[in-house]
Amino acid sequence: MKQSKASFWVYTFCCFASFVAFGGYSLYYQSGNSDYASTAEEQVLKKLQTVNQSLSGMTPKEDMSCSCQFGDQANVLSFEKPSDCGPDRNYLQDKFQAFKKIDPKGLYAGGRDYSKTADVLPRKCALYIMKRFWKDRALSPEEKREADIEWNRTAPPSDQREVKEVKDYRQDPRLFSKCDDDPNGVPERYGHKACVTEDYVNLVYNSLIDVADCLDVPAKFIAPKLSNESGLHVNAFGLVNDGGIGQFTDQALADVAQNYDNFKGRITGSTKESCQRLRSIPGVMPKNSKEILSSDSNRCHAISTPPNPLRSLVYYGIFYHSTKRNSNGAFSRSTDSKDPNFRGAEALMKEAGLEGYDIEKIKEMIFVMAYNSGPGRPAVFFREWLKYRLETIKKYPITKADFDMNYWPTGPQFKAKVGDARVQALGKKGKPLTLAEYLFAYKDSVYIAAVKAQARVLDKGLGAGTCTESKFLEL
Amino acid sequence: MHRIQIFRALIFIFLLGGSVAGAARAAKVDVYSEFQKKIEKLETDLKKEKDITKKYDSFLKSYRELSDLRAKNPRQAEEKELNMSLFMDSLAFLPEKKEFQAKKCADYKQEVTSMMKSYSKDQKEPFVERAFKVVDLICK
Repeated sequence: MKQSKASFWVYTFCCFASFVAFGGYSLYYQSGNSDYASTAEEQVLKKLQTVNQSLSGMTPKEDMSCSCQFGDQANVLSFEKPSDCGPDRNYLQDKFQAFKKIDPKGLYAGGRDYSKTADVLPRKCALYIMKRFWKDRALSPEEKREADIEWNRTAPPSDQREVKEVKDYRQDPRLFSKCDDDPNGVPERYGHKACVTEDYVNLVYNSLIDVADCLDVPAKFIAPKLSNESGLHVNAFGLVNDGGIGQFTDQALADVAQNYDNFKGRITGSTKESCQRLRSIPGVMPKNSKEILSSDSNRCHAISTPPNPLRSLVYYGIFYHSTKRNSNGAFSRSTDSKDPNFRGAEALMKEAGLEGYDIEKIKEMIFVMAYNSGPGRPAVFFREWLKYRLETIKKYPITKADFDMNYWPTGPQFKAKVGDARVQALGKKGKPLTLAEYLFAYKDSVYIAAVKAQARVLDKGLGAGTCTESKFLEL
Repeated sequence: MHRIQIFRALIFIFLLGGSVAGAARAAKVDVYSEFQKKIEKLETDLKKEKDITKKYDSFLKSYRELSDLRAKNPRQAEEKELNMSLFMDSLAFLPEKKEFQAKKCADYKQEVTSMMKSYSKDQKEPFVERAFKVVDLICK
């Protein structure tokens, strides 16, 4: 009895010591919240962890929790293994090996201490976006029919799918590409997503984080946009020949080329470690703007790896700044010396009683739309919407709800012809359209709403603000 | 006699009212169609004129007329307003008369293009394209 009492206390002490050393450590880092250690006990635990880590040289365990399900795995994110993906999805493996050869120190192709950049953008954001984007495989009509038959074998009677003729199924679009023949040539369309291995995620994430740091691009601001466009896939290839992680079109690349010489110095002249790493990889930094190949027939320039995704992301950093500058310039234009009747956005906002509204947030919406529509047009659309709203402003004053981008049209609304037919389909019964509705009805654009939807998905899957900026695209 | 006078007065008022309404109807301007006619005239003038300074004067005059046409008339249907604004806003990136230099034409063209061109090829805006054409005609 005495012996067992002593062993009880030894056991209890050991448990306590183990908890202090390991349990508390795990608890803190799995919380994914930097404000977690708020109480005195938690602060003690945190200090113990720090001491423990410095003694052991361990890196903190990375939080991979999510409100999501990929395959059989629920609520935790994991990397795919080449053996899980099959030959049709392992087509980039040799490219990653080639990247390792030009990056012998593993600056991009290797792992890093990801706790250091978790505040900028956790690595799991990249993993989640890459896994979630589109489909692992593009299905043929035959495969889709087979999938419906397979589904019906196990689904309850209430959830059965209609099995149609093969001709009634549509081939999935092929939204990825290969650039095996010519690294600066025409991409070959391909239907299957590259296997989302840890090497692949690291290469993308390390590149994104370094470009964000070197060129002062806010990673959480661009994450929903990149999630919407390329899903962070190096070889994404859109239906209008928009290619690579930045989904560059010829006009966007021409803009990058136009601004390259001004921005190049920011990278080549910087003492930041991120910039030093960027310029150490061959092929990332063109010598001059003439080396930036913008033609559709050269789209592999922004896709082929190595040196992409790094080169494409450097271009993206330049594109971000030049588009923002031009979009803000178009928005802020208050006069036209050739036209005394011109009224700028701020004057119209004042007339509409919007002086107290956060103009920077409105500019942010216009800037996001500029990624797609070019820097000048969205400001025109915004001014026209204000003029349209001014017609009925007494009866229907503008409120914050008019700027709500949590909006998505229904199928029949999409089918209605752009213009008055769409307004009719929106069924507002004489009430004026919100900004999002106006852009949809008259300009067939849901781009801001689509990026906002991606931010909502990221917030829902990984926690509000984990991969997005707070109050992103909202007033 | 008194009844006849009243009857005549009524007929006069009726005719006067009708002619005023008719005149008002005639005065109502189809802004959008006028706007396009003015663009067509500008394009024709620019094609005829060889001197670039005179071309630019012609453009500035038309630009002002287009703006006045819109300012003096009620707002049109949204699609029409958007088209007209896209045209005007594209050309707003051109300089005022005293700053205009023929040798800088290529820069003006690049400025207008990079500001107003869409990054997505499927977003066609005929009035932006038309503005690009006007810049081409000025700089030719």
